[in-house]
Amino acid sequence: MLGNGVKRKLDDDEDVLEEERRPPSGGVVFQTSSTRQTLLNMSLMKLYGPRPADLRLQRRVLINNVIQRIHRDFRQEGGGVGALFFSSSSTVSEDESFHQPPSSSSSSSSFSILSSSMSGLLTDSCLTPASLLEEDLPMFFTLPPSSSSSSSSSSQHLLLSPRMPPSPSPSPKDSFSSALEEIEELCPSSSSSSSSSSSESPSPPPAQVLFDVIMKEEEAESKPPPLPPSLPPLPPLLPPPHPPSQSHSFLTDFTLDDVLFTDIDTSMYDLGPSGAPPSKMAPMVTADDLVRSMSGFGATGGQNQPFKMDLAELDHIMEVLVGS
Amino acid sequence: MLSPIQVLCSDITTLSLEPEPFASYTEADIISTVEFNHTGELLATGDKGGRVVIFQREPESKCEPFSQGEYNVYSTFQSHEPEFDYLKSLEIEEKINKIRWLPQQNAAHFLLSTNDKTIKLWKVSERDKRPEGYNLKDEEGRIKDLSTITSLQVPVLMPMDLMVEVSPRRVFANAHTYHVNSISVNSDYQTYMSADDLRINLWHLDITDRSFNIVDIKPANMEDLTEVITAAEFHPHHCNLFVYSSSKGTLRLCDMREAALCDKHSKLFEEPEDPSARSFFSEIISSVSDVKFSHSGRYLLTRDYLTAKVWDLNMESKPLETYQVHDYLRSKLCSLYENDCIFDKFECAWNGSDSVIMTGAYNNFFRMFDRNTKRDVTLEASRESSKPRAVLKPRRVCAAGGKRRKDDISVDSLDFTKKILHTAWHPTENIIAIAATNNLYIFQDKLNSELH
Repeated sequence: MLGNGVKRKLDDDEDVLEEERRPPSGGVVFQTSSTRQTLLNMSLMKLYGPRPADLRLQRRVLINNVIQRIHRDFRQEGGGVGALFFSSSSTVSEDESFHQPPSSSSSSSSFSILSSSMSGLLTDSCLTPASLLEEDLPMFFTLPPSSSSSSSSSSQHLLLSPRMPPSPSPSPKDSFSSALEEIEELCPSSSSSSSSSSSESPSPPPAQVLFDVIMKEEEAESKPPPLPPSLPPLPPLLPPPHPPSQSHSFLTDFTLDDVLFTDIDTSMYDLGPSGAPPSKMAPMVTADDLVRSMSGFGATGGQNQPFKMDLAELDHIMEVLVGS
Repeated sequence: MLSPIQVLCSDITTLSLEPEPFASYTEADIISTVEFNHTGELLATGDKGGRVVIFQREPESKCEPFSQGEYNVYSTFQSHEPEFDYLKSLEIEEKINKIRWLPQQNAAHFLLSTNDKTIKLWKVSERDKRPEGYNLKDEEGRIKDLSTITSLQVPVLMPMDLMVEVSPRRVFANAHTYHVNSISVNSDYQTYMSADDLRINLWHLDITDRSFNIVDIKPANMEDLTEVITAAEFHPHHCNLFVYSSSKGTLRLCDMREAALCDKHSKLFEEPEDPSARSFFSEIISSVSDVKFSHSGRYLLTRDYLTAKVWDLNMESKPLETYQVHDYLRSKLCSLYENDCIFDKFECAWNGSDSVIMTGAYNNFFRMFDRNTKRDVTLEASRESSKPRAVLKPRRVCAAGGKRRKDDISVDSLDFTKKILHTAWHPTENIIAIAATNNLYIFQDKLNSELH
């Protein structure tokens, strides 16, 4: 097997993951973030990828428990792991650490797992993998300001909004519970109503919602989204409401209309060319900033700031995807 | 009792629509359950296409000693059809999940077969006589011209070619929201239970429009669901006791006398987790895929992904014995998770004297463990190695890169698409039935045909 310091090849990643997972004698298993990442991606793909309708309840529960476990691990680490869910070898160099051992190849491989499975959905780095769009993800993607200083370059971490769901509601299960509910009950009529409030937690998973929209769009168009390849995928967040998704497949339940006609806060885009964020918001980053930051030159207006995606920012992406 | 070197002769019966060894099979031919009846005379298999095939053992015949004990097709019928749940836009598969025989009480045989939603009671009976000499009908069944009838006659039963008739006697439907994974006939021979992911229902064999819910682990908020029921079985002798297993590796023994709803267990069998071996897959591999009472009723046999465990009903804290079925997979769990093999549900079986346990593995291997001598053997169910009356050769799986003997198979060359999930052991003799995808293999230990 590979030892420390030996360059890992893509093919060896899985073996390496297995190696890492094998417990050292008498010690607690050390799971690297890349392992977790890969697992998370895999699990989400199983739950939300193509043909989730074939999943039995037992399998869903087990996969969901794996996801829960990974989330718990992330939370236990205080969210200090800026895991990068997507990487493109073109935009992210191996040296940019993501608070994890230099294993961006693992990240790429994990991404490639995702991209290879999602037909037509992903090109190299255009779109957000499903993993980003889980509502709960913002929690562990948040870099507390203190820990961001440890990042080598200011902002190669693309972090989701740290908009923590206020309640400890099992938000990662929203889609899961919706799938379960679908098994259980007949879907009530309000699925297409944009004004219906979420029947589940107070903080619905808008990220999931948009992901589904993107998936639908991709399936419909079956071509890569018109994003510049160098633009790192932005985790989309949508304002509520989202329909109580009770269809068996989360994807089929959501209609595009809900996204398009939702009241979108465009204050972000009324800014001047300076791209100065509104003062009331947390430090905002525009797409350009992200591009620059991805190449490691620091974000506009600040170093080592965790940047947070605003809903409007992601709506913009949505519009780009849908409109063009 | 099990001598691994000589082991088993194989009187092979392969069930396949395509006789050629390498012909492709349709998915509907994949065998999904195998079950001997209580005497071992009949062997039933269910497949993914909703069909049930019953084999009957040829009686011993002095003039043809070699044909003794062979199983031949007795009856084939379509048990379940695919359905569509219009309310939920879901297909209901016709795959037979389980078959359970009822103890024989008259000339006919009864079995229960279930798919995901509906359980059916089938009556299998023979007809070898038919009445002849009707007054109003002639031999071909045409109505006679009344004017030609001059006298009355009493119809007489005349022998005819044996015909096996199968008819559905009961249909137990609409009682399960989730997928039925187990059925088990009670020792009172009047009731049986059916278990799905979250609930267990008790039925009376004669009543189809009502069932009694005895276990319900559905949480009030489905978002809190973390555990499902994976298997359930009645105690072989005590009609009030049953056990059910969960996806978290626990077994619960329940007593129906305690309460109408047996959500509270009488005994909880759980092995404490080894903290040093904890990984993201710990829970998945601890999920119990099958649970079987021993014939004596004293022990429980459970199968999880990597091991088979024997529990003593009197000891809840840990299993009595743990057998590693394919521990070489422990380092490959991530890949197995990726290709979904980690979710495969292997069944397990006791022999008639509860001294040997058997379970399946990958690459068409199956394993047998002798509880007394602690010896174990790995055998393969394949056409090449199973010519009629050939002795099965023990196989060995060696770790990748390890010292490899001739005929060993390396872990990396295992075929994970060839899995033996369903096995059955004759209730009194050393005859086993192995379902390998679409083929059924029946092996017999001619040297030790009586159980020790």
